[in-house]
Amino acid sequence: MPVIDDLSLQVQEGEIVGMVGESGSGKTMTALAVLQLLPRGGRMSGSIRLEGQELIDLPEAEMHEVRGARVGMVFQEPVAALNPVFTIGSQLLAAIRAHRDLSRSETRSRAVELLRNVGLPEPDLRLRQYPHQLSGGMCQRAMIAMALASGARLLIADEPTTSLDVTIQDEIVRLIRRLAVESGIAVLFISHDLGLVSRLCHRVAVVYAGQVVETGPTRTLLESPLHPYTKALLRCVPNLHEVGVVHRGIPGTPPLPGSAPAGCRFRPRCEFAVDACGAPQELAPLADDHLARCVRAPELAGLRREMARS
Amino acid sequence: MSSPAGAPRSLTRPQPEPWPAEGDGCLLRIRGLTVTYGLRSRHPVRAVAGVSLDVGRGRTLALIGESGSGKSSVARAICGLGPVESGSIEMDGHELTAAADRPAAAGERGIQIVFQDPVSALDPRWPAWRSVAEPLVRDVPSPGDRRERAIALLERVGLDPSFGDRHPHQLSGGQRQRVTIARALAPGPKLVILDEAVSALDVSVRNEILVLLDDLKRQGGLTYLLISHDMGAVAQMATEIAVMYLGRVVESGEARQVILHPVHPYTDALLASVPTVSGDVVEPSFRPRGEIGDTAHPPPGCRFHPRCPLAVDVCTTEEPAMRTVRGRLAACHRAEETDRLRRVGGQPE
Amino acid sequence: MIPTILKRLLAVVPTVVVATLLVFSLEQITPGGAAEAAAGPTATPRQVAALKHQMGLDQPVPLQYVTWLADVARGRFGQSVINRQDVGAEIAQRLPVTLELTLAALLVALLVGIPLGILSAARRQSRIDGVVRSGTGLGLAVPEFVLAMFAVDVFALKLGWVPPTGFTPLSQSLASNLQGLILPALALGSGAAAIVTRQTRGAMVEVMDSPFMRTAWALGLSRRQIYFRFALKNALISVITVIGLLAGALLGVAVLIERVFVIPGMGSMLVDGVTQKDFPVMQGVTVVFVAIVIVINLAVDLSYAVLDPRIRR
Repeated sequence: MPVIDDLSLQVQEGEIVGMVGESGSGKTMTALAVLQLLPRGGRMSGSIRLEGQELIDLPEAEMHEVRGARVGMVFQEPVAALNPVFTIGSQLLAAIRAHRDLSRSETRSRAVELLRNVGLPEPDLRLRQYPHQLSGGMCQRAMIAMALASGARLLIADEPTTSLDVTIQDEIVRLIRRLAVESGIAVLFISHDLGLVSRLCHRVAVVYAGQVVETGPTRTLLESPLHPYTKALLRCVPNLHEVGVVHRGIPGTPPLPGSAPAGCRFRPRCEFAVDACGAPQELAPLADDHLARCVRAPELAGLRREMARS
Repeated sequence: MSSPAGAPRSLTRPQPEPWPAEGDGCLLRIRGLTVTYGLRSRHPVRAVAGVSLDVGRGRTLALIGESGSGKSSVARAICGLGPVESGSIEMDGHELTAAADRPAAAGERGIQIVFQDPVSALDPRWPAWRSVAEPLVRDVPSPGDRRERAIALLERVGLDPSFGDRHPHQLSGGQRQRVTIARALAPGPKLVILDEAVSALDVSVRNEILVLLDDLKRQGGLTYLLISHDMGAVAQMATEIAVMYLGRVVESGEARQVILHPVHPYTDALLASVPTVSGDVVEPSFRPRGEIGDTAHPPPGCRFHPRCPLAVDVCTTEEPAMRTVRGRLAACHRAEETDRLRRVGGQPE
Repeated sequence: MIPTILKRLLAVVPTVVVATLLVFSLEQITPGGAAEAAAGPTATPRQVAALKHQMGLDQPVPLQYVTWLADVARGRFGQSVINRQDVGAEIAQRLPVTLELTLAALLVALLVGIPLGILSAARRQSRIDGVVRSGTGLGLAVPEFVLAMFAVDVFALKLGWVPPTGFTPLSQSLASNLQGLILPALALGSGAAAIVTRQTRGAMVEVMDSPFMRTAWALGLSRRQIYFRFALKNALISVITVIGLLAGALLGVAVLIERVFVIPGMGSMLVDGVTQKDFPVMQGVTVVFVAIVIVINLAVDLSYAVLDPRIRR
């Protein structure tokens, strides 16, 4: 049962790329696939290249070296994602020592430094505490510290703030931005929240039903979205200037994995659908670095430009 | 903001009346509500510490706050599903807290509630129509009649009659939520409480449900109490907003005013952290520091003071009373002062 | 920690009262009382009555209970009505033997069960998993004493690897003591090992599917760390529960195993006491068994707090 189909994405060094999609779009599976962490029975094909090295079909022994040391990952629901019967300290120390041999005291001071770096107050105390004693925001900071403990150059964040309060969410997002800027780490930020992604990311890839339907620099995507799904998503982002105006969503539901129609998968819900949409759509560039999987994209973009002029 | 050609219409509403509502127009009146969990245990937790609200007929009051704000406890107290330590809840002139069977009393006075999680709200063994018809069992004895009414309700919420025979696991999240809404409408309520009713849905589905709720409100003359942490949904639906933090209301007033010209620092912070693409509405001259407080052990004085960059000495010792600023209510010692500064164009420091 | 222990001890008191009441009432409800058994089949009614008075059996029942309880609390279990030996002294002699056997069996169960359980969980649905499942099925289905008799026949009589019967106390010779224990411990522990294996496998599978294990994999921790440290501690909670239950069951089965291997433990003492209607013996042995099981379950209860920080106050 195919969950992801022909998904293509690139993250440059020091870049923050956002992957936006709703439930069932396959975004979490993509993240897990990078580290070969798919659930049992999952199969991958295609290519995942990290700094030129192919990761698909990499033997477990070598994959082990990639995880943590070159790619770090943080997950949703941070309190549940940490081991409940071990202290933060035990888990962090294990993460530090996973790929490096350090003395006890070296490890411990590195741990304190890492926690301080992610903005956790009283790091010594935190090391002795258990996940259930910390708030969601604090656990997420700890998890970020663990993910970066072994010097990973790429951080994959799978909906890291979805379960957190909005003021805390804001803090975590700014933390990630600061880490990326300060250490030049590349970030793949996965979310269902286009607004959040647009605040943080340099580039965005919009995913629908297992395919990337549009990708480009954030500003460009927000100002001139090409794919109808992106446009529809933009409508749904909170707009505090228009109080009292109820914006439409997208009628219908996304196709279930494996039951997607041939041709454009968004067609049943698309207001611009025509006959040509029955054919499989390719991801095509319409401008420098701005690609869309829609046969009508150039035409619709032209229409909009005309309207803007008049 | 202009919409490109071919975009569906947006729905706008006529200008709302000034708030607070007039005496007769007030459908739900809450005064001094206090909710404490584990009242007799060793560690009672006061989730709501003296909240007063007015919900006008035909209006939508949004109760917005983060975890620990107490907003869900307020909703449950109204429906009789949660404890009330003290205070009064008056629905259409009738006091609800004194009733022997509070949930039944709430239902009889025309209050219904829609919850966040459609999965646990519907019996998985029952087809959709049966869940919708359940509230009618007492008043409509014939199962055939009940089924007819249920199917009609399902159509009203935008579901084809064929959906009536489907079971919850055969429905999508949005469809399930429509079923719970239909069920809430079955007894013909006056006030519908939406407790994070759209929070668990994908954003494209969420907005469709909001459109539905808006339509239903106009057609049915309903009144909504919208409980949410999602400022986006609140901005679209609310006519009035009350902001809650750690069990108290810190600011309340007419929706557009609260969003465009917030007075309380917490409202400011809340708005500033909403991820929008259209640029920040409020210039975030500051950000709140640290974690949300613990409801069980609230800080002394103003509950927001440990995180408030505007805090001064009096904030650490005295709880601020609600005062009227700019035609609405805010609980902040510095409210008048900062308001003056904002109007003049300076930044509060 | 201390308040937790005290609280648990207090909770145990009702159990002790009920258990001792039941044990005490054994005498009351069995047809033919202790006096009849002691006097023998040829005694006259008057002799039996005199004996009854001497044994204090004509007192009101509640009084008998309290007197008996007080005696037991002081370690005075009375005398066997059959051979007039001090029950307490005999228990003191035989208890260490049974305890050693039961402990050895428990050790077998843990040393075999936990690693096998982890292995099956790590290699879920593989051939190894299938083999382990069949093996445990066998261990559960075959009664321990049948296994014991079979083992004696093959390993002791035919192959001569270990002595078939007999028991050497620890104080005399460690080597022969252990030699004599191998077969009985293995036989007794077989069923328990099967249970521990299955329980461990189940618990490990559940833990491995938890969100926090995915984090551990993503950090690049070694397989050994992941299974034997981070996963196991979570799984142990449910395994320990099972061990508490098993301890009581093992004591019961120890009785039969002691017969097969002719080991002078409490089990044989109990069986003789029951067949001979020797009430002081029956009551004494049962009280001690009950006490042991209560202590074990108390230990299990307390270990939860050690393993799972969320349970601590």
